[in-house]
Amino acid sequence: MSDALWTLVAFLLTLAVLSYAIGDNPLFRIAIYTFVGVSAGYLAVVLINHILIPKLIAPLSNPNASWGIIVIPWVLSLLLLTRLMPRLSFLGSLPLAFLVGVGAAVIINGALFGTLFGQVRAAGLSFSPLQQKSIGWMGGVILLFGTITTLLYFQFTARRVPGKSISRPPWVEVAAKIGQAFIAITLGAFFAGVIQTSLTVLITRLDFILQFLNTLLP
Amino acid sequence: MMDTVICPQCGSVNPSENERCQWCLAPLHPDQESGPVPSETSPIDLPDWLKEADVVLTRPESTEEELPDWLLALRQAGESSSLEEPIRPESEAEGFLAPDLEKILSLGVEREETPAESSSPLEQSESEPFPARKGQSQPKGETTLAPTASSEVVSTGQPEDELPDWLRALQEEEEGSPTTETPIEIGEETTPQFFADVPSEVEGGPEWITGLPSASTEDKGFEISEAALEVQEPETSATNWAESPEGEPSSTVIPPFTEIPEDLTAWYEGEPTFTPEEQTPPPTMSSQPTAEDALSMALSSAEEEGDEPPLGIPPFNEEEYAAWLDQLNLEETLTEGEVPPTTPAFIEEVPTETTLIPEEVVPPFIEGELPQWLAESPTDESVEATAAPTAELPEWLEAMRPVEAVAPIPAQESEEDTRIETSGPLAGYQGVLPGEPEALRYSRPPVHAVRLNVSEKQRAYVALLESLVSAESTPISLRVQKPVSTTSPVLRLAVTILLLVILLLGLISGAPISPLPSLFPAEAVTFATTINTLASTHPAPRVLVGVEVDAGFLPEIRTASVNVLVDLMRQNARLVFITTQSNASVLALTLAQQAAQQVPEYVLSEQSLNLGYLAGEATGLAAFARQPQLAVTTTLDGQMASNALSLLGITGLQDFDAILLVTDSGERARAWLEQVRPLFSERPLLVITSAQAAPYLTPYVQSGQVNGLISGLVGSMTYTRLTQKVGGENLSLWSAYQMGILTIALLILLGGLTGTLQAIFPASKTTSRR
Repeated sequence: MSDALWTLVAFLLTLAVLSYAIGDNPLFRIAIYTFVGVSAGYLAVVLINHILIPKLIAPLSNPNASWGIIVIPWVLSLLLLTRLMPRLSFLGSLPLAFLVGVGAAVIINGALFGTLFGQVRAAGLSFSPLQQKSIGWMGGVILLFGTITTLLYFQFTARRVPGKSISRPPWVEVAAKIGQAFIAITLGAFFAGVIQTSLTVLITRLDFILQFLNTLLP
Repeated sequence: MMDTVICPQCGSVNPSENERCQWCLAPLHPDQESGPVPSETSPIDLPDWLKEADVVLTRPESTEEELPDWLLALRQAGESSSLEEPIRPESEAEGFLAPDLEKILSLGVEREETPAESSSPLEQSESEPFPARKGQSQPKGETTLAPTASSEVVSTGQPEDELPDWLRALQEEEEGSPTTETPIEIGEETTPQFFADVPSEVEGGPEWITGLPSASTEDKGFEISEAALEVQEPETSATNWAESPEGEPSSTVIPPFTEIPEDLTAWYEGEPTFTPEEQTPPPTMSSQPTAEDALSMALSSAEEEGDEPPLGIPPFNEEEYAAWLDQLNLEETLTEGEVPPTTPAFIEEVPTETTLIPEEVVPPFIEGELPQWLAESPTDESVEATAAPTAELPEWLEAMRPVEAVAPIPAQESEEDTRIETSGPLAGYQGVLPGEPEALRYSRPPVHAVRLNVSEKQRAYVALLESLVSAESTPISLRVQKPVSTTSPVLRLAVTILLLVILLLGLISGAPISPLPSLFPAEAVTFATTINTLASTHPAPRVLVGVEVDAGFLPEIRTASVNVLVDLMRQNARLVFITTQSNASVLALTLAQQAAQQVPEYVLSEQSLNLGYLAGEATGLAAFARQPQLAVTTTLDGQMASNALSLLGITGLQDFDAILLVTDSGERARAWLEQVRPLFSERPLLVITSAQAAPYLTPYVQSGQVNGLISGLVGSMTYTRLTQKVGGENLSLWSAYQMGILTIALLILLGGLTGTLQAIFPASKTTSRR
């Protein structure tokens, strides 16, 4: 019974969302607000149950917990709460600085060793004689050419010549045009992926509606 | 001669047309009932500045009614006392005033005996203190008096019949009995030097000087000398001596009936053969005492009226006094028992109100600032010879004249005079070589080249700067933005209906319009191969499953994810679910439950572990990659994560045999690849992603950072066909997907074609709109 009820709720919410095809309407808003509210409520519950209680409250009752694990989270949390008081808001800068600093360091480190070095090495692998992939060196050349021209497209500095308009060197202009074409292809690929995903989601929702209607039919 | 009016406030002479005193701004005609009586004080049409010399000749009188009570009481007390006692001054100032007072008092008594229209201020009597004021007809030519003041005109150059009686008598006596003393030649000794040098006809002087009327040498000389005496007081004499700190008259001011300073009157007292006009008292009105001084003198006089002879009286005898004082028969009048007035005449002249001292009155002359041409004024002979006609200047010009005439010397001249040489043979001298410093300071101004010495490079820079500035100021024509054409609701609804109909047809039909794919991407093949060979590495492979999916995109990857999980469960894999999305932990649980339904032998609660939400996203992933037991505290069920992981034999990231990432976002997948993949480089990392995140992850696949990848519905179909799962293709979805993709492609092409046509034929469109 509960599955049928929740299936009916899902059916109604799906129709409410699809009603946006005729424009903004109260049904669509009700469905959106419902999703936002449920998500926020669920997030709060998850944060309390999986973050605050086990990492902030539970160590107080754990005799094996070290003082650092107990004190540091409390101090940083209290300092962060001072952001609510204008007179003491400067004290909240300490935990914020800690969070921002650590986050930036982690992201930069991952970007360097996880993406940049890996992608540079991959660009060189295409020209390796040991490369066994089908694209071969031709694919490597195209990949390298597309990368260079794309980077040249984002080269916006140019020297101003008296009496003439500001313009990049001709070869840079040509390379930038080619890079622009690569960028257009890339964006097209992303757009195609978005369309595929959206279409798949729509198909699954229509399939759900059909299955629900099939259950209603005798 | 212009009519004049004496100010009742300060006693100054003002033109009759003035409404207020030009010195103290007091009203001249309080009762403006009758106009000013024209006076003929002097037949000479003197200019205004010279008329002001008449100030010394006139003196206001106050009536008894205007006197205050205390003064009347004082006067009555003085009348009751004996006047036979000589006046004994206490102070030196009073001492030199005392002889004059005695003579004045005697003069007043004498005038009382001869009341023939006496305008003397000395005429007073006991019964009628001011008999002359009542019913007295003002003599013709006499200066018009203000209603509250009496006047006395003693002017030189007047007709003899207009002279006062005492003066006329004095003159007659002189004429009748000429003295043996040698008459003084006017202009040689009696006239001051600065005035004696005045030429008869001044060149370049103003007309008001050249236009002086011709008069007798004596008259002219005396008038000028009077003026000169006035000139010797730079400031208004009536106010200057009154403001002196000692309360005494200034040395340069000649108070009424006082001793004339010796330096000024040496020529004056040395010659007894003065004419009556010349013996006229010096300009007294210019040094008119204030009320306080007059009161002090009167009080001192009243107190000293005793039996004791006057002590300390300065040796003012008859020889030392002017001749006109000797003719007053002072002793005679005193011995006759006539009571002289106890109150000096000038006290009676004290106005009823406090005299306002004019502060910003421009004196006619300032001592020491006489212009050169005036210092060299013609002598008496020359003045007599020049006798220029009277100049008739406009009133406005005469009003302006004194300022221009008396201030020709700039202030810097005095400054230069005070300069003292500090070096050279003239060191210590003052006022020498006044013009040299300025002359030495002068030098020709330096000549600067107008043309700039710049190089070609600098010129190029200047041109570049000019072009920059001009480019900033030059307006740039903005590109006309075409109006964004929004699709009409009808068109949008039509496209929606079309798409829904096609998709429903595909779902209902279940027959794909094209055959299923037979060529598979390498990453999909690697993915399927890796999943199905995990059991070869470990009998119970431990797989870390990261679920980074939003609920809306789960249907796309649900099929592939469930099929992969089923394959893993069949290999008795230990599945550990973790997510950095708050709501993805439930989705992970849902996927696991759906997969576990297809593998009944798999005990989900024992063989799998859901760690739930990992806070911190990238930071949390980095922490989990290094210390999984510290990064995650509890599981989704509330158990201790460390204990649960230990039960699964997992103490670190390297204990996992593979990582399966299920995500719909390229950013989240990249976070896994950046934070976890570097610490897990020896083991396979497989990714199930949505179609929209595939372009993000493709480079990582080609770089080897992602070992296998399946994306979207196509990836699910590919994996199903690779693993040869019967019935796992879900052909209805695939059919609808193909039809939908084709429809969308056609719509995109149609839209592009329409846009191209609109770009090619914009004019026709505009024309048709018009």
